[in-house]
Amino acid sequence: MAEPMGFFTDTTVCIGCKACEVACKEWNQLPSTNGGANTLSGQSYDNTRQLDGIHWRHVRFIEQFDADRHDGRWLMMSDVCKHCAHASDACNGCRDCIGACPFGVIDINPVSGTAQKCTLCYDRMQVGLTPACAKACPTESIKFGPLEELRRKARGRVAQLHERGHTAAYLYGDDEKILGGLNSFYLLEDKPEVYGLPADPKMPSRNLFPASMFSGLGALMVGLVGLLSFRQRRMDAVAGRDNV
Amino acid sequence: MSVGSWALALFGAFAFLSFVGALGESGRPGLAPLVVLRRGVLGEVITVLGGLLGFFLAGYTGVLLAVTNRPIWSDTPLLGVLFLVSAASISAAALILLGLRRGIPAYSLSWLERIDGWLMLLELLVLIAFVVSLGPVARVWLRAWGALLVVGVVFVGILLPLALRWRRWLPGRLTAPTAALLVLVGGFILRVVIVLSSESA
Ligand code: SF4
Ligand code: SF4
Repeated sequence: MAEPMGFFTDTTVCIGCKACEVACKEWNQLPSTNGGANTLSGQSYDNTRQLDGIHWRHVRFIEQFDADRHDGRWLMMSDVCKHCAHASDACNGCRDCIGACPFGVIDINPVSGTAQKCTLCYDRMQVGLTPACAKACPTESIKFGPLEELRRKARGRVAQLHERGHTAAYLYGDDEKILGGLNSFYLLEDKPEVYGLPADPKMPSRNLFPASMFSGLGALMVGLVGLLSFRQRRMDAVAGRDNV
Repeated sequence: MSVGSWALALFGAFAFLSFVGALGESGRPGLAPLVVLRRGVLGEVITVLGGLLGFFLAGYTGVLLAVTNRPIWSDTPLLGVLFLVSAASISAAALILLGLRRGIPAYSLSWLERIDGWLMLLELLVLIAFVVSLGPVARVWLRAWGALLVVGVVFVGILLPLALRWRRWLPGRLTAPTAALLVLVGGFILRVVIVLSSESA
């Protein structure tokens, strides 16, 4: 089997230029409006606000400033599908994925009418090209490559940052701790929630077994009520209490 | 999760067979032979398999909602059983309403009301367990949705119909249809609260 490929996004070198977001839209011919409706927030550099059916890359701008805006910083992160290691890859168009995705990545694309998200530029990969977003990134904040190599690079980068006094730097999703490993992982400098990432994402399937068991138990109880009252009804009928 | 689609299709097929069998029972000339689908071994097999699939379907939608990452839906394993028990109680109420239109015998009516009563008590217990199992997430419910749940589902959909049947406050002929209608309204509100509260959470 071919080596698994993925993304390592180093948020410390992102300059928020959005070249990745634009390159993704161009390559994948994603519309600028959502079925004709303007989706831009118009009140922040983070104009497109979220990942959805027409934004497969989203450059998140996080402002952390004092009340008097004297002291503070910008955090920027180019967000994308996390390409979970254990995701199902068979789509039958049921749209269940939209509510099931632990990261809220997927939504409907109004042009196709189907649920869509980043494909890791599978079409480009097949002819040996780098995904459009990684190719466009001027600072190499987005790195694409074989996962093992990316992980090695990422750990080296964290060590380098720690040496230089940026002790808050850490990797999100590089090991099994998050959903058994993400094929798109990040270098962050603050809590995941600050970047709009869940600290402890959960697989939707966790509820399948207990929910089915409880439903089975409920079915048994309903069946029991039915059977007992059938018996009672027969007794009533035999006792001739039918007064119709 | 395509299991649900298969079960839905199969349930539809069995429901159709039962419907055709019921046409045979209706006494219309020429349709009498169809009655084999309702009586005898074949009829029993269709009824039992169709009934089991019906049970599956009643709980399936709740399990399907639980297997997501949406607030409330995925925060409890009890959505399936809540939907199932509520569906059973609503079905009994619907049968009461249909039966009344067709002159149901008194012992059948009191039988259906008794089943429905037990199911409503069961539903109340499951509903309490459901809210408890939500834990801190239940705080969302304490606002408008919680009020609707208590008034619309617990009071209008469960306690009021139970009290009407028990105390016979209304003139005789009105009790059964009023109580059954309230159960249907409560079942509808339960689903509205569960679906929309997750959206607003
Ligand atoms: S890999 Fe391709 S589809 Fe995915 S975000 Fe990058 S450009 Fe878009
Ligand atoms: S990830 Fe690269 S291309 Fe995207 S905004 Fe940051 S610097 Fe620009």
